[in-house]
Amino acid sequence: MRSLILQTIARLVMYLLLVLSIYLLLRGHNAPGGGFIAGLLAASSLTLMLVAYDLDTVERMVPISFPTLTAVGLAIAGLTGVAPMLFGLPFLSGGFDYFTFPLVGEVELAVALVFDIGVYLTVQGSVLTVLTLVVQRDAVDVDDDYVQSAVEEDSELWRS
Amino acid sequence: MSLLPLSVVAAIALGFVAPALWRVLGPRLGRVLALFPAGLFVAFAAQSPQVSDGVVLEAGVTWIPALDVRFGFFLDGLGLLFALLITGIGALVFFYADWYLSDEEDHGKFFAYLLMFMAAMLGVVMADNLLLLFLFWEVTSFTSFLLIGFWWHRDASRYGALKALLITAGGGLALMAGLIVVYVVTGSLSLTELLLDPDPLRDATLYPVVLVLFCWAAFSKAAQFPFHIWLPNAMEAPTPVSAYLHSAAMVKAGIYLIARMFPVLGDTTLWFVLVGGVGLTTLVLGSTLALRQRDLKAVLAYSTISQLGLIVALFGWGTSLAVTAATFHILNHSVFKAALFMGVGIVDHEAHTRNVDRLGGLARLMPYTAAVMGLGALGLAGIPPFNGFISKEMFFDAAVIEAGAGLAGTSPLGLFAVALPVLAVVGSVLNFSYAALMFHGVFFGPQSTDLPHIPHDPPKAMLAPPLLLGGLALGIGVLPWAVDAPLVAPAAGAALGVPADYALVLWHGFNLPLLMSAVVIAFGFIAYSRVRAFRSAQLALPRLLSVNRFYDWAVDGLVVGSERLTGAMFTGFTRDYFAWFQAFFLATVALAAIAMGGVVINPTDIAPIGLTEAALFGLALLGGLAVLLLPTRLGAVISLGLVGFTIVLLFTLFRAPDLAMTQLIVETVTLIIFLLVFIHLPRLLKGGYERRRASANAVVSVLSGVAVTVLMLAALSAPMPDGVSSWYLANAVDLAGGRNVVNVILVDFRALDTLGEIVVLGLAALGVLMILSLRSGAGRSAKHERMRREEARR
Repeated sequence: MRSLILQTIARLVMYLLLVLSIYLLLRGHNAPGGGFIAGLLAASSLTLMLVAYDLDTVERMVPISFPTLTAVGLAIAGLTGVAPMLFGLPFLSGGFDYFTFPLVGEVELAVALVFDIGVYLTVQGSVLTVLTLVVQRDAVDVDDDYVQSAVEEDSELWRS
Repeated sequence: MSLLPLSVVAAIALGFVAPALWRVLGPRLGRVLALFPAGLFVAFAAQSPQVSDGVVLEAGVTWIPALDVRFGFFLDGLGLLFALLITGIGALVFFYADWYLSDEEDHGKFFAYLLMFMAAMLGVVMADNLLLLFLFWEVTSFTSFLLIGFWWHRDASRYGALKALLITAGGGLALMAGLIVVYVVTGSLSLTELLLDPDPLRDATLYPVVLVLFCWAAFSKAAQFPFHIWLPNAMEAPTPVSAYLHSAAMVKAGIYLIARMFPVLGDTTLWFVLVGGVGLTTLVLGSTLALRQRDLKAVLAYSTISQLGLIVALFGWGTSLAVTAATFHILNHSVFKAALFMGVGIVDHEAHTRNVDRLGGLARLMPYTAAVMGLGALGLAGIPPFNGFISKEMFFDAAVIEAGAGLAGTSPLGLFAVALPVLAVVGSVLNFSYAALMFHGVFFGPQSTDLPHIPHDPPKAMLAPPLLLGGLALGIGVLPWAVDAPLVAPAAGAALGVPADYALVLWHGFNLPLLMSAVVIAFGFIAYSRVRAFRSAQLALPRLLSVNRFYDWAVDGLVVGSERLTGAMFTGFTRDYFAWFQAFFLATVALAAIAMGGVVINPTDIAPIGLTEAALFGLALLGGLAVLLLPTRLGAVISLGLVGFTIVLLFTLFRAPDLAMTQLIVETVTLIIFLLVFIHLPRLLKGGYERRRASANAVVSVLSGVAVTVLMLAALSAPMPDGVSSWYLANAVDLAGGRNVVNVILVDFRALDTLGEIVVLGLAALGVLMILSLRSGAGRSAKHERMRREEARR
């Protein structure tokens, strides 16, 4: 049972949510936002797609393995910690500076942002790993009659 | 980067790429990789002139300055001796393993483990910081677990690997406890600082605690009684691994710790009794048990135990002569024992059996292998002019000196010290006879006819490493001065804390130790000729005290006990888990409240509750009650969502946008996950379990609510620690360049916490992945499962 209205809206909203999540990630250092929220938001955008379509569609659209995404996120965050050690600084030392780019103007670049990107990817990856697994188990061994009867029973209970 | 950290880092890096290299190089991998430890050997050897002049090489980077932890290395004479053994014998083992492993084995994995192990060993012998030493120490335990269990499909391999891990990693925990006590006493974890000024530690009341903990760690690694039981089972490893672990590495890490701590903790009565006593016990026990074995590798295993006992006993006695002898024997034992292991590996490889009773007269079939075993066995037995002879003479000499001290009344053992030379001779007689068994019993006498495979000499390349080692055993014996000044004297000096005043020579003149050696050889021959009678006599004795039986009993008890405990606690119902969590939380709070003499609540400081807040809390309360009262699960889930969204509103009200946003999305995603999962859940919702249980749950949950409320009020009443929040607010822009203080705390000031949290998050996802994919397809990954389904559909 797929709703065309939900599917059409989901497609639009997904991109909006993804863009919003990146916006929240980038501005996190100075305004509400950050890797955690942004990661959750990105995950929820794909969750919406999962609900509106199915797992196969989402996998075709986003050909990434979510466990790998988690690992990449953790690696980025971890390496951000190790990198300063190459310059003789302690583990996880932060640093930032202001740079001027053409067209954009002055921009602050902080080591913490790279770390935050790691957080962003880890959060997104873990949430989606769990979600896709759950959805997939849905397809593996849920017998439709059982679901139907469960839903019916539920609604009966509601009425009573 | 200097050689010290570089050698460790490069070995780890090479370990990571070894599997990929294997794909490129195929079965020639070991030959090529052997160049790496060989190169390191040369590089370390090049440091020898400097180090023997007394220079201590240091290198490292700051790691955790807040905890005073440096990723620091140092190399003195003692470290250099071990580093040379690790890399030198390592290179030969790599080369030998290449020929030993058949082409079907996973060479990539094998050499990856071996390289990581080597890196960890180098780390142990060069670490300056005790915490760093502990880290590498545990890595050696773990990598040796992988190496011993390399043939994981065999039950015995897995048993041996687990046993080694449990015993040596258990010792590692003792080491950690020990270094914490050292830090508490001295305020430093740096070995170089400790070595410079050991007196505060030695005079501290906690000194016996430190000593026992460090000895526990060292004895477990060096297979000293009663921890020796892991070593015979570790023989299940491929023979190159045994040759490495039990000659130059792993067990020598324990010896290294004793040698390293000798200037700091040694030379006290307790040290003498504990280290000397355990060493001598192990020496006699190991050599007695060695004679009983039929398996050649088991003979070697117990011989290793007894030889390590000899070294430990010498460190226990602690005279200048004894420590020099111990240091020299570390070198000698590594050389001849590695040769013997490799020789036994060849015999096993060729004859397809290691049973001493079945092997005989092999010298005609495999003369070169016989030569290898002969050189090794002569070194082990301590026959002149082999290297083992010199260190054994020194051992006897040291024992005689201890006995002399006993007669003069200056030994802590009193007159009992006279027994030391006697025990030393008894141990050496047994040692001589099993060395004879391994050489004469296997290669001479009537030729065995019923072997599974007719043996002959292996390729020359496989013989080269053990022949080289055997030749070295002879060479060191003939020319001891060649290793004395550059290697042994600096190492002994570092272990003693003062320069050693003993020169290695082959010929000591006619004296008591020489007489003892003659006695050993004479009685050794007699013991060897009676070896079968000896064995059956030993087997007839009832085994009253078996450490192995205790180990098996303890491990089984642990497994069964924890199964029972988990069975009782983890019923499969989330509500039961929550009940346990909450009960534990309540117990903790109650204990804390009692320990602090009650809680204080000061109602005057609490802000008035406005209408909006009251309304929101009312809404949340309504949601909570609805969860309890609604008859269906779906309804309960949605009501729970109501509570969550009310919290979002509260966060917004109190101007915490970051929290509100996070809570909002978390609540949404949780709700969706729950709705997706809920069709899998059994239909039962309420009831279905006993009233007693339900009322217990009710009590726990009401108490939890009360406890949280009281805690919050008490926390508000306590004086706020000044400065934490204001420090963050004041410094966020200057130090971290961010105006969102919440985020700055998360990703900069407290980034380590965040790193820990996301690791937990990733691991949780991995856990769910494992559990669900294991259930849906017996170990198949989720993707496999889907592919299988798609195929079935077509």
